[in-house]
Amino acid sequence: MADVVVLLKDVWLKYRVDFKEHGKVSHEDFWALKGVNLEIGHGQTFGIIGENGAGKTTLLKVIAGMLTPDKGSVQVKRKISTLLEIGAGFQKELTGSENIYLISSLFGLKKEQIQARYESMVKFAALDRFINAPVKCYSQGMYMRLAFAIAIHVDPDILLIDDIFVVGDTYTQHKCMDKMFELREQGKTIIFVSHELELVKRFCRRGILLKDGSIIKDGQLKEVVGFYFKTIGDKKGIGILSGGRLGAVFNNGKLMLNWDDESLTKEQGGYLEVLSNGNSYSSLQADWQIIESSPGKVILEGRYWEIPILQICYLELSKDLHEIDFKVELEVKEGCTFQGCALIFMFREDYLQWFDPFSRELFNIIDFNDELSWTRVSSDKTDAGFIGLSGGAGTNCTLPSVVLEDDVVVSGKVLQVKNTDRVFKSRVLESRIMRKKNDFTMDKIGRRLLFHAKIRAFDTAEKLVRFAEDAPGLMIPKAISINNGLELTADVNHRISLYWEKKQITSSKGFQTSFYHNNQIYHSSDGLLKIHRVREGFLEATIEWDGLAIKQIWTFELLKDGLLRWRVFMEVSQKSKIKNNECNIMFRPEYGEWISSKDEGSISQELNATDCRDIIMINDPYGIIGLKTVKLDSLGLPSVLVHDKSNYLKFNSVWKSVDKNVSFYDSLHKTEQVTNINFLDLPSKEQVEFPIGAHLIYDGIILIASKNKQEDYKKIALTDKPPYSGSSKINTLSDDITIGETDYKFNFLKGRGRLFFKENEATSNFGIYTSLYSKDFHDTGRWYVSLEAIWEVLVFTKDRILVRGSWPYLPLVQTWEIKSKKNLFLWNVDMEVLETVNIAKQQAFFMASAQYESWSVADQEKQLFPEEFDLSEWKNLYRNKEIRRLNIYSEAPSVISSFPTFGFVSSQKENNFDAIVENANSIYKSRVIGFERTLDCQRIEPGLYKYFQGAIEF
Amino acid sequence: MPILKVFKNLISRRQVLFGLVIRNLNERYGGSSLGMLWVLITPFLIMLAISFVFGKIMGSEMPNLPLLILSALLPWFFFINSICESVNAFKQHKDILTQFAVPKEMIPLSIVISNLIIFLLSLAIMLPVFIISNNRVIYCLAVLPLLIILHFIFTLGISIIFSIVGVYFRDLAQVINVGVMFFFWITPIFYSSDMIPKGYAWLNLANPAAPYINMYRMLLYKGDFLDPYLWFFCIFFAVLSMVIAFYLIRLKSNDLLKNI
Repeated sequence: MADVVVLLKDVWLKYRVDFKEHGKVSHEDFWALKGVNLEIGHGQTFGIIGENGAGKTTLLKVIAGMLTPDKGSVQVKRKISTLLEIGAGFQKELTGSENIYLISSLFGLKKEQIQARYESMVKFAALDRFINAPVKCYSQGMYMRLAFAIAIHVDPDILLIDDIFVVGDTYTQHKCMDKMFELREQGKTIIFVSHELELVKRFCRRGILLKDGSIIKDGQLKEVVGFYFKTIGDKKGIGILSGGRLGAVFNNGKLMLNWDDESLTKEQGGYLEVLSNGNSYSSLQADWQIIESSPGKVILEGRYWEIPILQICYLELSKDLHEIDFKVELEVKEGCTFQGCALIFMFREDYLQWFDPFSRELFNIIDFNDELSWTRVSSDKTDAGFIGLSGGAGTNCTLPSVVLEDDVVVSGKVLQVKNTDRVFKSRVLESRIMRKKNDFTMDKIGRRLLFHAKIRAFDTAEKLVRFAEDAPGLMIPKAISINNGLELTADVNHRISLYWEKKQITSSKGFQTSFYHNNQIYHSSDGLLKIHRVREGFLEATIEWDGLAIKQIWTFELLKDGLLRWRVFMEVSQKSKIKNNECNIMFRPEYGEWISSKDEGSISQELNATDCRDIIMINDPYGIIGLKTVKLDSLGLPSVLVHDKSNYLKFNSVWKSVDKNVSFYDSLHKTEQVTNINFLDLPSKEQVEFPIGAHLIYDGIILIASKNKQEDYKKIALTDKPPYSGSSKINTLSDDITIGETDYKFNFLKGRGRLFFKENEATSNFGIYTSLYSKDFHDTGRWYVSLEAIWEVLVFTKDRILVRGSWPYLPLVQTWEIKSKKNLFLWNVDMEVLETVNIAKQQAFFMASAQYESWSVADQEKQLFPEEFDLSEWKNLYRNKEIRRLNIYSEAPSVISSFPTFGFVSSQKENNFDAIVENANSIYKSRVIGFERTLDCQRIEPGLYKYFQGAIEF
Repeated sequence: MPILKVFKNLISRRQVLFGLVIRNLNERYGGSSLGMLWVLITPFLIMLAISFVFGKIMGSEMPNLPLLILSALLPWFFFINSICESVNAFKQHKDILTQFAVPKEMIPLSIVISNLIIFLLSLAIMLPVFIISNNRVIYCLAVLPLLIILHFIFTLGISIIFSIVGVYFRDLAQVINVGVMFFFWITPIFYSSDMIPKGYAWLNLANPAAPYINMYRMLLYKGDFLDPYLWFFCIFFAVLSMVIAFYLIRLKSNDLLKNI
């Protein structure tokens, strides 16, 4: 080399060590340097690494001329300045400014030289007024800045720096590092000793590895560091995963990733951060020990001295060598507050692109924050299945794309992409757990698996795309399809949509479920949806909710003939109370007409902008609901038919509503109309408590009938046979049933009793019905009318009807028994309460035809109903009058033969019913007579209750 | 010539030496509010104390007794302080040795120079007093610098020797503590050398510091400088101490830092 500034030839240096053993003192020579040969060219940045006691500092001192070798020669050709000890030579009593003069003169500067450089030194030290305060008042960082400022202003050609970056704050460290890089650019020769291997690696081009006083590796620093890890590494707290192109080095709390010889991470690499008692504790502070180590697997244990938390890291290199599995368990030893935890990876700034399942974007041009804060760049969506970086160019090759996944569901966990500040200048992928308020599970003593991160590297774009297609979160829509044009896709927003010949049939929300648990409603859209398995014609999705032992599994299966089967399983891992399971399929708003096996109707209605929904209760006993578009619109949407095949009775309804919807592609909040088909579990004894295991809660078949099959659609809907083979529950379901032997007949249909005399119906509208007022836990009360319930026929003989009805969201079951006697129908209503429920009022009514014009109470005189309806003030309420009988009469001679007199009798023994006589409103135009009970204690415990006992006499 | 090389080196690094001297002085007077003024005040205070103790309490009738004592005491302080500080010098200046590539001999040198400065200052303040009390002293001022230089060389040599030996022989500091007291009393400070009984005259010869102290007294108190014997001893001890010092530097300077 032409311009060698430091030349060491076969340098040997020994120390004499006195051993005092067993009272004897013996001297032994200890060779700190053994035949070191070194040649450092001008302008080189030269790193010296090695274990403690390898002779690094001694070598520096030899180069500096402080130590004279016992053998060999040292030649140094330029002016040297050293920074071996922070604050050496400082006079504690003197001010910073006085010390500048003092130390500078020790460096050999003349007074004029010092004066010339003084300003610049003061500026670098950034001490403000403290420059005029005694240095004994300085902080470590100030001390270091001042020392560093002086050392570099001596204007040396060669700068020797020992491991000084262990002291001082990060601001100081980075300021000094920046300056060192600046000096490097200026072509100074810098010889640098540090334990911060990444720093040395970044700073120095060439270097040596010292071991026991000898150079065991000399060359490019990258190689030297690699060699160091391979040879000396696994001694303490250092674990190495190697074997393929992707490698990792775990060095006392930080994980460095490398690809071939390029490092992917920088600064602190991958590390853990624990927030406890208001402080943040980095895994770098912890004391690490290797539990197990092999080239493919490392287990380490880190202990914090400050907090009673133990961290256990399991590192494993996958067989294909492109994936590192990083599991972190935290063991809380004793009570301590624990606010959160994060697994952070700092990657090189060379990565220019980031992505998550929803987007793939370039980093901003203004990348790194000037303030000491990090900026988040990824979206705040919490259930991103993975995040990653790509588009980086290394010095020798393009950097592989990296992906971070985290499998463990912990409440409050978010995957984020960040940019650091200017100082660190790194891209950050992190998995962060922020403790939620009132979440005390984190404080629990014991071991918890908090992170199960997978770091994958992809050297080609194709591999990344392939990964993204199979990943639990989705980057590219994936679909199952069958040849006749039906297609089910799961897209990047975790929505599952149905397509027909490339036309979307469902609205953007598609398939949705919800349920109640612990007085809280859980929607599938709030959970973490992952698509798990896709094979031809089959798709499986799981939905998990934060901190819930309940999981839903959805399966979609394409059957023959264009049928899609949607099944929803509830998987509970501990006995859980779940109710009001709901399954919705949200169709496009063009669907405006519905059909069931018994009925059809229209749902076209003007919608307000707000979330208004007018629910059409279909209560189809066969569980069939069909939808078709109002007119055959330009889109040509096919009719659809949904058939609930599950064993439970379900409340089914259709409504139109306006839903808010967020699209990640354009990031706009959009509202969207939907036509929703809803299947809701009715309260029943069996379903209140779910035992451990998986339960099928919904089993629906969706049939798509294209234009030319419109008639099929209707036919299928109206046939008794569902469009698939299998058993059916239908035979027990309510229908139009009638009893009565004489001219008087009692007909039961969907929660209402109708009285017939010959051909004439004495009742109207609601007929004979019950109604109760209940408040739910939100304290919002509403009336539950028997017409809204779903009814099952339990017994039906020619003189007896036994039916059972239940309401959605109301945990009780009503049983009606109607018996036909000679001149009366007995009407008994029982009520079984399944869960404590609030009932304020219970009523039993007889809504009679408007042909009836007068009424009487018991045996008193007849009175006329008023002509007008809508008379709110006209209401006869007999409170506590022990009225047990109400009569209605028709007056006009023309109708008197068709509408005979009826008596409505309450025969309950503990009669605290109040009798009511009133007119219905002008829509119903009916006479209403009935009995009402206001309950004193509104809390009704589970059990069997008499609701009403009465009769209709004729 | 290795000796020349040492000198060359020292001269080329005089800035460093300058810094070290300032540092030493700062260490001693840095925190105090009067600072270097103490150097001027101290001799007067000593004079007051002496005249009180000997004049009033002991009732001595020696004329100008305080000046007799002071003329010996000031150079003695210079000498003994230099040595005491040098014994631990390398240990105390370790940070400087490991941070700045300072020639090792510069450490004792800086200490001796610092003490010399203090001595010269206190001497300067006292000189008028000496002249007033004995006007013959004024003729002796011509040879005073020569004595100071010899005394300085001697002190430097002894300081270097002690500073190097002190690194290897840690007990030296304790030995010096005791030795100082002994040498203080066998050195003619509180008495003049002619007060020593005939039988103990060898004491003067065995004490290398004695010729210098006696010489100072001759110059400053008696106003006489013609004593060839004394001059001979002054030159002899100065040269001898420096020869030993250089020998030690050559022998041990490479090894020093490893043993601190």
